[in-house]
Amino acid sequence: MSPDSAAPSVEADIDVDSDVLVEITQAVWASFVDPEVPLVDLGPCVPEPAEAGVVVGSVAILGPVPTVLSVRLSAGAASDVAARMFDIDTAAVSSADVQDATGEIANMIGGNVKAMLPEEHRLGLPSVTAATVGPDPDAALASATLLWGEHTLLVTLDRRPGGSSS
Amino acid sequence: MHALVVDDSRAMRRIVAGILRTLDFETVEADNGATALAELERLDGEGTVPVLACIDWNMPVMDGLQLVTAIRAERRWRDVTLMMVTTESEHGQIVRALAAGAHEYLIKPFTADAMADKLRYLGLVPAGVGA
Repeated sequence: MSPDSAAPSVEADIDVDSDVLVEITQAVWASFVDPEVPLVDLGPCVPEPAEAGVVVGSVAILGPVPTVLSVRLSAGAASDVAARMFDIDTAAVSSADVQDATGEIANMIGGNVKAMLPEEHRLGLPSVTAATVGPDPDAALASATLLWGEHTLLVTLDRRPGGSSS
Repeated sequence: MHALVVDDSRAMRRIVAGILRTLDFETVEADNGATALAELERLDGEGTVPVLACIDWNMPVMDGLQLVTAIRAERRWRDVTLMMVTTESEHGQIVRALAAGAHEYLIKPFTADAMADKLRYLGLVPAGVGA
């Protein structure tokens, strides 16, 4: 047995799979986005090239196993989410509204994922960006694709680039 | 009755304040712990110190745990009921918040009914209101 194989993987402490991401995201959606149209689980994410107008809300989970929880959705879906969370017409949604609502969705999912990790993990503050690359299947510890009406969203828990624990 | 809603997300402040207004609260909002303290000072000066503060944990500038500690350090605000409204759901975090002086803990995501139940338990919502 090599030294590498003898060492327990810290990632073994992460008990978060696609089903967990689906369950948490569905709960967040039903409470704050759309209690009437449930999110439909389409299975683990199918990587696609980055497309124009994709919004990504992310929150870092810092600790022994640093990860990033991300929610990717189209600009149209992000506007619809913001409209529902602010209770305004979609036409009245601003980019600041999209940033706020998408960030809070990522924050809530990330916080509930963090609660399933060893207690020394902590949550960063959410950020929202336009996607420049597609999801990286090699970085994903867990992923889920969900259908909301005509919109698709991807939720992924990725190893944090660089692997810094601070 | 006045309630202070402290969260760095405008969307979440709107949702929490909306629920509280259905329970007959007048709401004031702040986007972090530091601005919440400034609002408390202002309301104190007007003689309308809130009976309730709903406080998120993870916020820039001053987080919710620091805010709870700061409020509890002021005797003049000892009657303000503090309820954490947060994704921080680990047992250890709940214990830290309660030890710092929070009265109740509501984990995101939550429903309007769950928030009303907590406030009813705290005696801030009469039975039958918001049921």
